[in-house]
Amino acid sequence: MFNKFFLTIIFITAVNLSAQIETYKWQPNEVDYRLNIPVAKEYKIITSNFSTLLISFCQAVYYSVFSEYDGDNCPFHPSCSAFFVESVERTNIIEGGLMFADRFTRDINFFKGYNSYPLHFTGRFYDPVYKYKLLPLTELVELIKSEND
Amino acid sequence: MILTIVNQAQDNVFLSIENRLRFGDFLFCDNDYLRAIDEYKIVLKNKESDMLKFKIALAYQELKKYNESENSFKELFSSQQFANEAKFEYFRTLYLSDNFEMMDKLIKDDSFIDASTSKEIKKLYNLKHLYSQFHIEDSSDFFDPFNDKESVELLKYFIRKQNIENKSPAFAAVLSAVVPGLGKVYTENYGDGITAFLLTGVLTFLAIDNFNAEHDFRGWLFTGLAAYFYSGNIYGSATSAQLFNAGARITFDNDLQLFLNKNNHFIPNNNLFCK
Repeated sequence: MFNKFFLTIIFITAVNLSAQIETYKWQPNEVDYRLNIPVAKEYKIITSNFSTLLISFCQAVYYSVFSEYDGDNCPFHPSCSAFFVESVERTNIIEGGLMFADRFTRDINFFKGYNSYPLHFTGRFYDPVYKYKLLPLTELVELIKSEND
Repeated sequence: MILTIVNQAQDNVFLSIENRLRFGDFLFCDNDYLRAIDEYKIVLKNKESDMLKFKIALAYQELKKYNESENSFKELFSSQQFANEAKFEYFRTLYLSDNFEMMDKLIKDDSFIDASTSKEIKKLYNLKHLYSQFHIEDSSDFFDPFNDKESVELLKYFIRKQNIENKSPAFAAVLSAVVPGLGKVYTENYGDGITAFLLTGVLTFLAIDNFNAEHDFRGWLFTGLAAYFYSGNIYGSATSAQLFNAGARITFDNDLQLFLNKNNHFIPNNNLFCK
């Protein structure tokens, strides 16, 4: 009789305790809404001419020494360093350099937002090089339209 | 065995040419153009019909497969029944696919334009000129093919086209050369303008301050950086003006396209095949 009573008490206590543990277990998890988009970094040295070779080498050094540890912080796509390399590749080192100076100024602008730039699928502001090449107006309009299509 | 024969007999009736044609017509009127084309092509293997070829071309046009549509309409130019309609629809396909060079060539070709469709063809040709990349030479000639009501509606876009906002890239560059960032403010990128002004200002101050403190190396370093960002801002102001102009034109073209689509490009909707 005593054993039965004792076992019942143990059973009820154990169920209650484990139920409390279960309650603790079933707490909702914290949800992280940040986009988990892996961005592959390219350390490509472009050897088409001396200026692209120089700039792409500088980019590779910047990636290895700073960006790798600092993290992927550029709000734009393509990133500022990729923009610099691409602009030099498409134009020349002087025009590419000016395009980069302008991009850097836009990058540190605190007021930039969704009204100024379309959103890329990576969640960054889409700001391609061709828009800043001082193309003839009709050509620029056609390029933007074809990209929107 | 009897069941198999009955089944086969039923299948043959079910997939007869007449039934395929009827089913194709149903799909065509139900806007299921891709499947309608398949049915019509099977019927055409057994029976020559200009009407079906015309409907296939129309279906391609609706599907925005403009190359196939143009080729199909071209085949009907010698048709007795559908020559004029095919020519008009061919012209409309060129209009929809933005093939302005070919439109320009055809509008000058008198043998192509028939009296029954000349007004509609002229309408499409003039409407194309309303887009921002084209120039309207004679404004009185522009409204000729349209009736009064249509002209009043188009006048709004005609005036808007004449007054599309334009910012001069050269002027923007000059403004930024005078005061860093002012060119960006002129192109309505106020944040970029303020940032450019602050960046150039701070770098210039640092250069002067270091020269005053006789730190020549740092002085020259900040002078170089200030000059670099100053030049970059001048270049950026010019591109910013160009982007502003492109944006204004794209907005106008998009609005115009929506307006024209809503009004079926001012072409009466003669539904020949679906009541």
